[in-house]
Amino acid sequence: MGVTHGSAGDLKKGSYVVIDGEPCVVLSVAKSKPGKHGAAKVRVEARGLFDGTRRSKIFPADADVEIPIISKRSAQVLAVMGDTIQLMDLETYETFELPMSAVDEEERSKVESGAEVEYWEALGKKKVMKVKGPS
Amino acid sequence: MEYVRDLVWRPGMTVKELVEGFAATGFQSTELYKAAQIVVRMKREGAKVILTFTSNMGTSGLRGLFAQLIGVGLVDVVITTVGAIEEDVMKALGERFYIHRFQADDVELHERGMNRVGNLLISNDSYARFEAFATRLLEEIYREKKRLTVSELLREIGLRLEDENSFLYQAARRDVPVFCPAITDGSFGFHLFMARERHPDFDVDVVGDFGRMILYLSQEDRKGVIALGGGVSKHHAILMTLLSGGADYAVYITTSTQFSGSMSGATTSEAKSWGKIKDDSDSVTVIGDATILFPLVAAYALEVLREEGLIEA
Repeated sequence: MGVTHGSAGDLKKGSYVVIDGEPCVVLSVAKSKPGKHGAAKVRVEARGLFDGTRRSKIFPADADVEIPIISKRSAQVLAVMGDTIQLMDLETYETFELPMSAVDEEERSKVESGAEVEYWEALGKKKVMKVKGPS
Repeated sequence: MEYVRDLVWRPGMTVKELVEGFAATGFQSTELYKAAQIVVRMKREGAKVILTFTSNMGTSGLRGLFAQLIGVGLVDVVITTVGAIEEDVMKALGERFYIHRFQADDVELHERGMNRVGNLLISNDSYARFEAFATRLLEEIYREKKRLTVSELLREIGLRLEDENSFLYQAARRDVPVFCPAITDGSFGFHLFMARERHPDFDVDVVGDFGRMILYLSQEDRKGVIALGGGVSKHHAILMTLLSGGADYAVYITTSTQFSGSMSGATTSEAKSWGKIKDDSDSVTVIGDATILFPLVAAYALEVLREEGLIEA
């Protein structure tokens, strides 16, 4: 799990980028032409994939940025234990636990034992993005 | 009482002779003569001299004169705004500012990436190269020191330049502090911000520098201010003298008038009401463009002080 590298000038809405160590999805990008401030700049508005926090950042357009490698995987809910859920990856059969807060807010009510979910993993963090229903 | 005498040219007339002739010419030329005399007295009577100027003057060729005044030991403190810092560095890096005209097609200039400063032009490319230099420099300084005041930062920059006409270079070598309270008010502000974005613990301290500034001359008996233009630089110069009863000498050269109540237009007399220039101070305000007036004042003062052996020239 890690990152690849790209140029800040290539970021656009929907791209992924690491800001302050957090994998984020880009919400909007605005570019400033070269001027009295120096070379072209890129202003990026993004939201943390895992923490939901909005982040604004200015990069020189030619700056190297980290792009998170996101692995989109399927798992099955083995058990719901209060605020914690236990999952099993459907490919590797690895089992792991996640707090309920790591399930997308709108999907949280659909979590039940036996349900199949799509979860994303990036920079060592996991989040359930979608609950597909009982498998 | 003094009376008006006619000014006539003589073959081989020197600047000193011309300025002496201004004494009895009247209007601003008489005020300019007084300014030149006050600068001489500041030094002769052992005052510490604060020189302030605005960014545009760093863009102009006055920058070389400022460096020279520091180099010969006429100036003890410099206060300016960040444009002058940027342009001092840019010139030291070999950038050229072009001579154009006041009546210009500014929309076309913008399309060509040229920025007009009066009748001068600075290209965006110069700013881009300055950014590359500033970014490298700030990385280098950050590795040595994560927190420093603005004047410490400017000294670090001056030590890394190789240009005798650079005021940062001369100031760093003579241990003359350069204060720039509005350090973010220009392209360098962006570069400092980007450095902070890369290193959240990188801190350039303005308030700490304010402390250094107000204490720097507080134990000195006599203080003189030469303020070219107005704004932040001029105000900080007289602020520097406030705790010790105000400046003993003051020369203002400005195109601003006092009628809007602005700091830039405030006269030396108005500053007396603030306690920032002493009631019995030796002071004058000359109205006009510093690129013409100040070289005359400086050339006169340098000539007289050199004859008296009071400067290293």
